[in-house]
Amino acid sequence: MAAAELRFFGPLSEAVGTERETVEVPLPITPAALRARLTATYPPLEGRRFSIAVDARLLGNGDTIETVESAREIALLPPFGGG
Amino acid sequence: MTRNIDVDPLFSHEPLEAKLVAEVLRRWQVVSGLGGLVTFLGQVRADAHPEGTVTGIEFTAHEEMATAAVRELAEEVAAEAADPLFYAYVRHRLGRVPVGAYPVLIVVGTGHRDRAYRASRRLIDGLKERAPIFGRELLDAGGHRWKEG
Repeated sequence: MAAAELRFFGPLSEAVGTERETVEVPLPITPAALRARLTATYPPLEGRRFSIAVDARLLGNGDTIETVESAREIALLPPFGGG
Repeated sequence: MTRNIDVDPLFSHEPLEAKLVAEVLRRWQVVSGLGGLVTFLGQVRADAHPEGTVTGIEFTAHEEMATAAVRELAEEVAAEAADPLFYAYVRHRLGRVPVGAYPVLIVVGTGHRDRAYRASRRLIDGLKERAPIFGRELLDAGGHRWKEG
């Protein structure tokens, strides 16, 4: 297990009720498993669209073979709305 | 090829005023090879939704990721432009931006105008698609809705 800073952005922070929280994450972990774990821990995320970035790098979605080996920051990013 | 990509700091809490555009243009005026400059400003629109009319947008962002995304985008656009000169300046607001104010400013300069027009378009489209910036539209009825795209 490793401690990571979990950051919620936009409507996700509103839904969960916080912008940051420290979480324990078992590493290594696949993006799909990480997503499932986060959704189980934070039920308001259920059914919402978001990307996951670990240490400022976007993870692939679904059944990617990429594995998260280390994580200082995990950012949950809903659909973008800049400009 | 000379590239001058000015996207950092990408974010500003201060209004993006017309005088900022004037400053950029003045700085670039001495670059004798520039032949076409295109300025794009996004302006907050008073969109009418069933829940209310937009009075402003409150922007937040993953600043580090957004800055990196816009830098990478600008490098790509510079390569595509294939002009001996490529100058780009991009700024985005954070915090509350009222209707009529500017959340985003993009200035592009190249040797020839067609490349500057194309680059400007690519930069705003790419920023919207790739930069993790979030906009909360504030409504006159008191509520809000989240902007997408």
